[in-house]
Amino acid sequence: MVARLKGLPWGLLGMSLLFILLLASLLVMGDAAQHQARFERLFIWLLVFHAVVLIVLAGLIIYQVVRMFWQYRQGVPGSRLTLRLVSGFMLVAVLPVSVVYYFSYEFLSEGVDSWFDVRVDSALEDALELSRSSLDLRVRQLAEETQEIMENLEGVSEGLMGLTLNDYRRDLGAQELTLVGANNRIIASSTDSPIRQLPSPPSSDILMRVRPGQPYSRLEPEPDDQLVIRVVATTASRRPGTDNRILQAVYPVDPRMSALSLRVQDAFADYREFAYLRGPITQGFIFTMSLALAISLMAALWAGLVVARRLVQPVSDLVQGTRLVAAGDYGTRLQVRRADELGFLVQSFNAMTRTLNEARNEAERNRRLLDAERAYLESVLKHLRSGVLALDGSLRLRTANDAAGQILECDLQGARTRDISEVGRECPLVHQFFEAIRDPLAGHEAEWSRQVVVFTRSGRKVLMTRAVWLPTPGSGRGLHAIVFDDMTEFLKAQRDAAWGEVARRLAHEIKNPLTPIQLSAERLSRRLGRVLEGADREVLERASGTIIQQVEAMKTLVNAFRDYAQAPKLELGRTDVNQLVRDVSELYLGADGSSRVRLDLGEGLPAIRADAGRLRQLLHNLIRNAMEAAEEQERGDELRVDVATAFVESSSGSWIELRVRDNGPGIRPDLLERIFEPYTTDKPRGTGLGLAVAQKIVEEHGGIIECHNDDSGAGGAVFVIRIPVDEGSPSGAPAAEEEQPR
Amino acid sequence: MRRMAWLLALWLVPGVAPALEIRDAGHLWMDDTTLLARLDLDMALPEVLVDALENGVTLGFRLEAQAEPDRWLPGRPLARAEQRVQLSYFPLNRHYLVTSRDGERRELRPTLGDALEQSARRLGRVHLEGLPEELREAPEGFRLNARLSLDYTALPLPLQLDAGLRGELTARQEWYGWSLD
Repeated sequence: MVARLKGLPWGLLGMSLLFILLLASLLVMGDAAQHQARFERLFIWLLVFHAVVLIVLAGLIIYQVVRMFWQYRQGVPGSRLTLRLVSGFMLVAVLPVSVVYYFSYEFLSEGVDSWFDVRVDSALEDALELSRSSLDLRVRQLAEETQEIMENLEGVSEGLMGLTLNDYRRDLGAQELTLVGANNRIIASSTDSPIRQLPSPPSSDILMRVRPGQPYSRLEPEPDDQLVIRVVATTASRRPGTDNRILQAVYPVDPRMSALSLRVQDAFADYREFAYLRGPITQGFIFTMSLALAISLMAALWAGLVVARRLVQPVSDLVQGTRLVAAGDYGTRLQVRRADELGFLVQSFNAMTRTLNEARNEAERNRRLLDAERAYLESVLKHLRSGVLALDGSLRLRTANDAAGQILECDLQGARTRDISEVGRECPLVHQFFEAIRDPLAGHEAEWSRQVVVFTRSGRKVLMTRAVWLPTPGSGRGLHAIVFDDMTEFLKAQRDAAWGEVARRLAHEIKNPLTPIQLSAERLSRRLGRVLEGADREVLERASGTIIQQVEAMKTLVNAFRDYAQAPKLELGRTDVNQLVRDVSELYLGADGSSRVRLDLGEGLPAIRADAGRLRQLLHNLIRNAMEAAEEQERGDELRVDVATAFVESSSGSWIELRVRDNGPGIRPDLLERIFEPYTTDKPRGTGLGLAVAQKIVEEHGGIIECHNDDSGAGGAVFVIRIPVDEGSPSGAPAAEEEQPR
Repeated sequence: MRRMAWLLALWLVPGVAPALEIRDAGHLWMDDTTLLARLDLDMALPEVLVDALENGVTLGFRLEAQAEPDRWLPGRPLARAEQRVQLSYFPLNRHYLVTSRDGERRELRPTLGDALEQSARRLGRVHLEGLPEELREAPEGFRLNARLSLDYTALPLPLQLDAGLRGELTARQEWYGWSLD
């Protein structure tokens, strides 16, 4: 109930009531203006009522106008339209009202004046003058007669005065004759009516105007709307010191004459009063009309404000709602205030926002689903050891996982949306990779695979690549999904296993007959040497020596194979790498005591758990390999091997790094990728097993080894070994792809 | 109420008041129940009222008198009286007519000054009846207050409106007071 009451447009109802009252008051005022008495009785109330209405309206309008301009300055939606509508309403209201006001003003100003005719004025003046003349004549006549009586009373004794006055009164038709003596003493009096009150002596102002022989007379009104003529006379022979008597006579005016004269006087007085008041009356009418005009204009302005506000409200709501929707608030719902076209527009807006909201929610759900799928896919891609790339039809990079960047040695995450050729200018492996697969990509082959070989500074990489073309239906565009694996280590491990097996069999098959061959050759030499002489003996000794020497060489070779193929059996212990390096380097002192191995040992290196013997063998192999490489270049005196140690910390752990550098010719590029494979050597006297064994020892300690040529200008090869400091996992070296020393 | 509305309206509008003054309160006489006072009044009219009078408008004058305790805060009047006269123009003999409240007493005067003087005499005779006993016993604690004013509500409404809004008339009048000691 309260809500229903609150929902009523109280302002509009109040103003409608006020307007009705205003109209009623104007009607009453118009009616009252036709009747003087009613006009006087009601006018003040109407005036007060209009003043109150005016004040109320003015207050409401000032509030509304101030609010409208404030909203206009604040840029409130709809305020400009409201201002225009109100201005239009005002223009529509002011123009006709002003015209009506102008003509009404003219009519009142001229119309009221036209009520007063000069001839009427003149006629009334003449009538009054006629009455006045007629009465004056009578007054003068009676004054003369009264003066004669006064003269005649000179000799009459006071005892006969009453009878004498009575006779005169009857003769002249007077109402009253009174003779007054000194000190206003009434000497005698005669009246025409026994019920008439006692005669009163003349008033002092009359007595002041009486002169001897010149009676004072005047017309006087009586309370019963009758006129009387009062004459006061004294004798012409009045002398000082005598008893100055005064006669006062009151004569009735003929009733008809009296009534006519009073009527003329009343008409004249009313007309004069009316004529005198025409200015105020006109001003009063104009004031009333101006009041009505002001109230009408204010009511029109207020109505214009209200109507404009009600008209503009849905538009303001729509503007506000549109702003909210533009800001992303699709939950905006507008109140439907009207049942017309604007209401329909609001309903349509609500339907639109509802649809948008549902679509946004659906899109949001899909986006979340898509994000989840993408996150899942990225997680899968991130943990894949295979490289995954996605290129669009114009070969722009869309997606790349971490493994792809690691394999291709390039920051592909930062290269998204860039052309892959452009990326290739910064990353050589990417360039090589996509040069190798450009043809199937350009041809949009549906599905293909191939093995791609790329070359890095540390060797070559074999990438097994598979790709599919995923066309977007109906668009003519699509996506290349490329998956590739770095098969280098796998192939290398396969080769290593094969070589290990070969070495193990060779060692087993060859070493067994070597000892009998050597013993047989020594026996032949010992027995036949005693029999043969001369040249035969010399041939025998040389041949048996050759056999024994070659057998020893073969034993050495077989031992090397054994070492390579032998399953690791490490004797781990705390090992000081720097001390180990110093011990080994002393073995390479020259005849003059100088060492050709220069040391650059890092300070404060932690001890590691390692097999010192195997590490010593590793160092021997590397230093010997370096010296042999330098000797191959015939740089005898300039031969130099640098051995450096350092403690390295990286995201994959802590390492002891051992770096062996020579100043030889370096490793041929075609051998660089296979340098750690058995029988890979470019030295005529090498077995080709030294570096293979070195790599094996490093891997037994969970470390990594790599080789590259020094490109700083000094030449030579550089071998970098990293052994983990972590005591607990000598075989738990981090994956090579996580930390690749260069 | 109507009178109060007019008085309020005319009170708020600054204007010219008729020169209606009470010069003195002489000839005070008091018996057991009645206070007789003859007030010396000075009456003069502004031009607008003279014009109105000569054009047929009847003017009403009122004198209010009341006896009340002589103290700072106004109290309830102990006795009060009111005198009224009307002044009009009598064109038939070009005189001014002073009429009593009941219309029984009519006096003509040839000039406006005489008529105002006669009106002042009429109004100046005040009879306050029903006086309380304490006033008679200790008159020094009481005052006679009187006010002479023009009866605006008796004027024609257009004249009230026009002259009032133009500021040619005002309803403001002063009270005059005398101790009864």
